[in-house]
Amino acid sequence: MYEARGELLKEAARRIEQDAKDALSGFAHLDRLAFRTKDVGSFLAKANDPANNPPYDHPLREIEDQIGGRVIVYFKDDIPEVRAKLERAFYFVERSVRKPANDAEFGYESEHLICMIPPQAKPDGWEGLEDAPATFEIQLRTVFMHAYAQPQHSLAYKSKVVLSSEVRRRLAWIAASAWGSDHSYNDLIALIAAEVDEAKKEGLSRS
Amino acid sequence: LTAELRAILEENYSAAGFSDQPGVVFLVDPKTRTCDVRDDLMRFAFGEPASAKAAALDLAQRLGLATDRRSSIALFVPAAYEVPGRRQVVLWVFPSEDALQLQPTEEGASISVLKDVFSQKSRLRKAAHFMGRNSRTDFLQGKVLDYQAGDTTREVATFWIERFLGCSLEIKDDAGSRMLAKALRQVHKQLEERADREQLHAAALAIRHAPRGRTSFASFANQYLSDGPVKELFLAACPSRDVRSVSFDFNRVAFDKVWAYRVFELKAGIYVSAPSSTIGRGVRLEGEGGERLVCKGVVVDERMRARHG
Repeated sequence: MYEARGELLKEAARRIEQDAKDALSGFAHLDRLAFRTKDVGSFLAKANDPANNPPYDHPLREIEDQIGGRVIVYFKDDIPEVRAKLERAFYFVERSVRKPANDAEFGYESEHLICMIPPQAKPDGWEGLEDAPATFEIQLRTVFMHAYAQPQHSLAYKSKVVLSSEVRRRLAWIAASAWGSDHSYNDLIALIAAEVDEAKKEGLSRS
Repeated sequence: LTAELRAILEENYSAAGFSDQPGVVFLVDPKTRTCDVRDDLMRFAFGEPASAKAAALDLAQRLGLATDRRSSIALFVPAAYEVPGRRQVVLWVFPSEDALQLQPTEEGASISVLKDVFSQKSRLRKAAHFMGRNSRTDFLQGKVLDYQAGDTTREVATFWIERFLGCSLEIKDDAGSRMLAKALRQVHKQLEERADREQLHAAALAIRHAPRGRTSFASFANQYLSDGPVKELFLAACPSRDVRSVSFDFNRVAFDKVWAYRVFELKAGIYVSAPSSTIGRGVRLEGEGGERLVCKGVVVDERMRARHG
């Protein structure tokens, strides 16, 4: 049943991606923006995951990342601005900041937004779908957050074994480095702005 | 619930034509995915009788708070239905109306004035329709019947959808206005006749100056385009058939970014419309504040037209 609606979901994802691009048009710190639909295998795995609590009664309706997108920005301070721009295009029904629960830990960080699928994204035929999804997901993060998250997802999250202490410490070190790099860039932006201001005051030209 | 009242509500439901009415979305708190009206609706639809009754009272109180002193009394009727696998909730507000009753008597007839009579046909009546399961992904959006939603008085226009329901139109003004401008640009590229392009251009100018801020593809087409190829192409440029009648608030800034024409109003009621790409070339703004517009070019066509708008 999920496979049968694949083309409609793909068209909806394409339209949502275009709406998101329009909403962020002119934003200089956008690294990339892409939407995809969940493949059949991932959908089935998620629908039947015994860890679901509560389990999905109607996964075709309830799984909210059947259409999902990532918006990757350069700097941590860009995230609120991009979120505000996206909110002018989409209704958010849920916003969660994913980060380690313990302050002394470093790990996956990202902002997850659950949004309503807007009417203009629904192609002809959508209304005839039984249990069409009402929502889609956007993951919003920096280049460094992504640099940790994506390889980690591939290496560790999908592995079926309990990782050793050594592996977990090395992953935490990569996450800490990414966290530190984000903060260093934010500090650097402030430093560069201060130097530009100073140069202007002194009437000096950088050229 | 009497059979007569049930029949009346069903008649009103059919007459409302909810599938063609504007869609709305609950403005939920994104931290908790909750909002008062949605929570009450779900308690009303799925709760035990005592809980459902409490939810209905909450909704009635909220309606009272959203209503200002200019409003007359109204009859609030929340109704829940079981449909296969789902529940459906319809909220009705019927405004009061002074009615006259003719009663035949032995001497002839008497006329009495009836108070506390509520109208099913008044254009002041309101309704809202929601359907779904008891799930976090359901009851997030619905349809509304509100003939006053386009009223130019904001208090009146926002009463039902925003102040009472805590909802907003399902297409955001930015997204809807960009979508409209994109469709106009797409059609503009397809048109070969100058008169057709001019009609399209006049329509774009007209909506920019329209006092009423709410539109849809269908209402734009009916209001600003004459029957013919331009209108057909424009409606075909709409993302889907279902979206044609979906209302959104017109946002001029978002529209202009995509339409990419700048419109200048000069003294003496002169309007100059120029593609953004010509500003600084064929069209120049002079003076310290850019308050003088200078335009020079070769006239390739001229025609008389009624004042735009």
